[in-house]
Amino acid sequence: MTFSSFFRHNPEENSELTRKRNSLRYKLFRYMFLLAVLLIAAFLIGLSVISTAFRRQSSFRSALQMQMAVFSDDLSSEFDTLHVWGLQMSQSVTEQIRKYLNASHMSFSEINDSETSLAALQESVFAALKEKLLQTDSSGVFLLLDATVNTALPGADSSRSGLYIRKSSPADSGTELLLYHGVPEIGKKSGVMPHRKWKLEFQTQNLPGYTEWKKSAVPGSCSFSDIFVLPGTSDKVLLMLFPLFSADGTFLGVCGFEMNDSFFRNKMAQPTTLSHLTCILADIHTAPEGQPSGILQIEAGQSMSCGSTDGYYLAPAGTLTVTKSLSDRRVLCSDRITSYLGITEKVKLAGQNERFRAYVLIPRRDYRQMFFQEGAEVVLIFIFLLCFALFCCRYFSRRFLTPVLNSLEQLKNRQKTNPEEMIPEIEELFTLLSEMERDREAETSALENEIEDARTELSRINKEYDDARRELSRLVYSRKKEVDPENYQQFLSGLKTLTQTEKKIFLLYLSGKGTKEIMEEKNIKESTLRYHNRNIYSKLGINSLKQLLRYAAIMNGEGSD
Amino acid sequence: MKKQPIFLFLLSFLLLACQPVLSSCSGRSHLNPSDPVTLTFWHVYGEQVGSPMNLLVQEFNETVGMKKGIIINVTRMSNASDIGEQLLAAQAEEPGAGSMPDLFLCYPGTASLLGPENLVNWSDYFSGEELESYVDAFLEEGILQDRLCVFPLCKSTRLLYVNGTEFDRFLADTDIGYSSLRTWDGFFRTAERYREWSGGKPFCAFDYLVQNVDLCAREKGAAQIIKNGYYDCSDPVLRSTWKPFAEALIRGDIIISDLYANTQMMTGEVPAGTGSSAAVLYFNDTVTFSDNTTEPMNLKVLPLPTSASSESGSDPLAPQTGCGICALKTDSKKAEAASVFLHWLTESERNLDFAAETGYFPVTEEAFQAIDSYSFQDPSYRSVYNAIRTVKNTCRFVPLPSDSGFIEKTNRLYDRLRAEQSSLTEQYRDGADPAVLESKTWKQFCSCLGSPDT
Repeated sequence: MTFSSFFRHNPEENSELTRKRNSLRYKLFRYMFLLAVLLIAAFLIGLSVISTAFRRQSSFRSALQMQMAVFSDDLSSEFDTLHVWGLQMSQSVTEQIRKYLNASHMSFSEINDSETSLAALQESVFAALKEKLLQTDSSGVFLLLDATVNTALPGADSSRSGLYIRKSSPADSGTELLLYHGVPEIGKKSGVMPHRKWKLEFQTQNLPGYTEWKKSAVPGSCSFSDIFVLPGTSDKVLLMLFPLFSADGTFLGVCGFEMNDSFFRNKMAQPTTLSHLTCILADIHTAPEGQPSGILQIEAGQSMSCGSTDGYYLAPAGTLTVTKSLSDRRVLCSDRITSYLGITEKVKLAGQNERFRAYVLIPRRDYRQMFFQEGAEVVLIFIFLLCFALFCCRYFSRRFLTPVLNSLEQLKNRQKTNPEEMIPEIEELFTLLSEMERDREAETSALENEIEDARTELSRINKEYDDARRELSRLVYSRKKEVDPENYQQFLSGLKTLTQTEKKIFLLYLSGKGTKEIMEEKNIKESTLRYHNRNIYSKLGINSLKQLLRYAAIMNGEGSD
Repeated sequence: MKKQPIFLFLLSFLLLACQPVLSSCSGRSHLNPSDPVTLTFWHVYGEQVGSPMNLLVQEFNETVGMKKGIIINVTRMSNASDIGEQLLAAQAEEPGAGSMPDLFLCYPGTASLLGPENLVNWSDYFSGEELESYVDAFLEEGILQDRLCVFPLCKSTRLLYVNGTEFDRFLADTDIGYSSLRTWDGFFRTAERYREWSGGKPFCAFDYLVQNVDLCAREKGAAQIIKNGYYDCSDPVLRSTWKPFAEALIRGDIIISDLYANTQMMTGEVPAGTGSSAAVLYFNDTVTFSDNTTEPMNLKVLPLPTSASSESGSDPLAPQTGCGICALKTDSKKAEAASVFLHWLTESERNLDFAAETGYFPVTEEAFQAIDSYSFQDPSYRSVYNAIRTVKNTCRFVPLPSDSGFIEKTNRLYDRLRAEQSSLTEQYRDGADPAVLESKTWKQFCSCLGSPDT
C-alpha cells in the first residue's frame, strides 16, 4: 500500500480532517479572515480614491502655479523678442531716414508740407516695416514721423505722417496686410490695400500719453503705450514704442509694434488641462492710485486676455475686481458676471518691472464643481463601503449560523446527520447533554428511594410515639390510683400558694436538678434551700422530694391528656 | 428569498453605475450648465471694424448660454470668400488650415462642397410652425439635397454708394441729376460725363461687376445664361450686356475696386462705388485727400441702376446675397446647442436690430416687414435703408450664383481686369479701337467664367 493510498483510505484520518474543517472555530476563523480581507481591500480601494480626490486639490494648486509660470514665460519671451526686433527696426529706420535726408539734401524739419518727400520716405521704409511685421509675432507695425503733410490744417500739431500696417486676420498666420495709415498708393504697390477705416495720418491725440511719452523718450529706449481701442475698430491694442532720434538728437518720430487683443488671444493661448482658463495681462500703470498692494480693479479696457489653446475662456466683463488676496499669490476676483480664483504676479516685459501684472484664473464655479464632485465621490465611496460591510457581515453571519441552526434542527427532529456535515462542537455538546441527562435520571431515582425510606421510618417513629403515649397514659392512670386524692388535691391547691422563689425551686426540682445544682444556680446556702424546701413541703402537704415528683408527674399526665 | 440582499445590493450598485447612461437616454436636453459645450464660430460680420455679431455672441454667452451651458467662441472673422476657402482647406486637413468650426457662415455653394450630409439639417431643430415665420425665398436658398443646411441669418443686396459732396459739385456744373443713376444707360452717361468733368477721374468702383452684368442681362430677357456655375458666352443678350460695362471700363469711367469700393471712395479716388448694403458698416464719414485735407462724405445710397423696361416686359431685379449659418454635424449636444443659439439669434426683434446695425435685412417675415418703419439715427444708415425699402418695393430679389468655385472664378476675372484696366484706358486714349479692347475684355470674361464647352 502506498502512502497516498493509505492516506486516501484512512477513514479515521479523513474523518478527523472533516471534523476540523467543520468545526465552529475553524469556520468562524475562515469567515472572519475572509471578511477582514474583503473589508481591508474595500477600505484600501476607497482610501486610494479618496486620496486621489484630495491629491487633486494640491495638484490643482500646482497646475495653477505651473500655468502662471508658463504664461509669464510666454509673455516675457514674446515681448522680449519684440523688444529686440524693435530696437533693430528703429536703428534701420533711422538709418533709412538719414540716408533719404542726405540724398535729398534736406533737414528733417523740411519734409513738413512735402507730399513728395513724405511719400518717398514712407516708400523707402515700407518694405522694411512689412518684413518686420511678417517676421514677428505682432499684429501690426508702424512708423510715425514727427512731421505732417499739411501744417496749414487745423489740428496739424497732432496730425503726424507715417505708416501703419496691420495684419488683416490676426486669428491665423495669414499674410494679408492692410494699410491703416499711410499713402495708399505705396501700400497698393506692395499688395497692401487700405484698411476699411484708413486715414492718411496718425492723430496723436488718439495715442494715449503720446505727448508725455515724447517728452521723456530717450534714444534706444523701449516703452509701452496704454492699452487703447484703435479708432474706427473694436480692437484693443498695446503699442511698443521705440523712439527715433537723429545723430544730433533731433526727435524723428517713433516706430514699433502693435499687439491687439485678437492677436494676443490667439498667440498667447495656453495649453492647459484646466477648463475655462483665463489669462490676463493687465496694465497696472493705469490703476487708480492708492489701491493697496494686491487689491486691484482691472478695467477690461486696460487688459488683454487669452484662454486655452483648445476651447473658450471667459473674458472678463467690465471691471475685474480683486476681492481678496490669499497666500501663495492666490487671489479671488470677480467681474459683473463671474467670480474667479487664480494666481497673480508682476511680470517683467521688455525690461519693465512695475508696469504689468499677469493673472491666471479659473471660474470659481468650476473650482467648486470640481470639489463638489470630489465630495460626492467620497460620500459615495463611504456609502459603498458601509453597504459592503453590512452585506459582508450579513452574508458571513448567515453562512456561519445556517449550518449550526440546521444541525440543531436536525438534532431536534432526531434526524440522522451526515457525519461530514456534522459540526463537532454541536456533536460534543449533545453528547455532554445526553450524559448529564442520564446522571440526572440516576440522581432522581436515588432521591425517590431515599424519600420512600424516610416515609417508612416516619411511619415507624409515629407508631412508636403513639405507643409511648399510650404507655404514659396507662402509667398516669395507675399512679393516680395509688395516690391519696386528698393529699393530691392539697398538693394542687398548695401550688398556688407558693412564693416566687419557691415556685422556681419547685420547677428546678421538676427539671431533674439536684440540691447542689439548685444551690449553685440560685446561689443560696444549703440552709436556705432547706428552709424553702420546708415551706414547699408544708404548703403542698408532702413530706419528700419523691412524693413531690410523683404528684408533679401525675399533674403533667393530666395536663397532657 | 436567501439571495434577495445580494440581488438588491448588486441592483443598487448597477443603478448607480449606469446613472449617466440612463439619464442620457431619457430624451431630455443634452445641455448641462455645469458642463458647458463650446461651439467655435466663424462669421463675416464686422471684419476689420467693430463687430455687432461679436456683441451679440457676448450677450448670448452671458445670458442664455450661461443658463443653458453653451459657449460660443468666435475664432475667425473674415469675408465670405476667405471663410469659404478656409473651410474647404480645414475639411481637407491641409497643413496649417486648423480645424473645422462648429458653426460658420458660408454661401450655399461652399456648403455643397462641404457636403450637405456633413452639416446639421436645421429642419430637425425647427418646427414647421417656426419655419413658417421665415421668408420662404431665404429658406429655399439654403436647401441642399432636401436638407436645410444653410439657415438664413440676414440678407443683403447690392447698392450704389455715392459721395454726396463730390457728386453735388458735379451736379451743380451739369444737367445730370440723381435720377440719371436709375438706369444703366443713365449711369454710364453720368460716369462718362463725370470723367470728363473731373479731368479723368473714374466715377465708380465696382466690387462685384459680374453680378451687375448678370442681373442686367436677366432684366433684358436673357434666360439660362448660367449653368453649373459657368456663363453661356454664346448668349447674345449676355454679350450685348457686357459691352457697355467693358466700354466704360476701357474709357476709365469705372474701375474694378482694389479690395472694396468704400476705401477708394474714402481716399477720394472715386465718388461712387457699388457694393453690399452691409458695406455701410465700413464707411468713414469723411473723404481724405493726399494733402490730408478732408471733406464730409455725405453718403448717398441708391438702388442699383436697372435695365428693366416696359419694352422688355421684365421686372427690375435686385441681387439677394448674404451667407447663411451652417453647423458641422458632430454630436447631438453640439447640434442642440447650435439650434438654441440660432433660435435666439433669429428672434424677430433681435434679428431686426442686428440687421439694422449692419446694413442687412432680416429674415423673419415679421422683422422683414418691420424694417419699413424702423427708425435710423445715423444718416448713412437711413440712406441705406431708404434704398433697401425702394428695392424691396420695386424689385424682385434674385439669388446670385453660388455654385462651387464661382466666387473664385469671378475674383480671377477681377484680378485680370484690375491689372489691365490702366493699360486699356491708356490704349483707348492713345486711339486704339475700342471694339478691339472691348473684345479683349470679353475674352477675359469667357476664359474665367465661360463654359469650357464654348
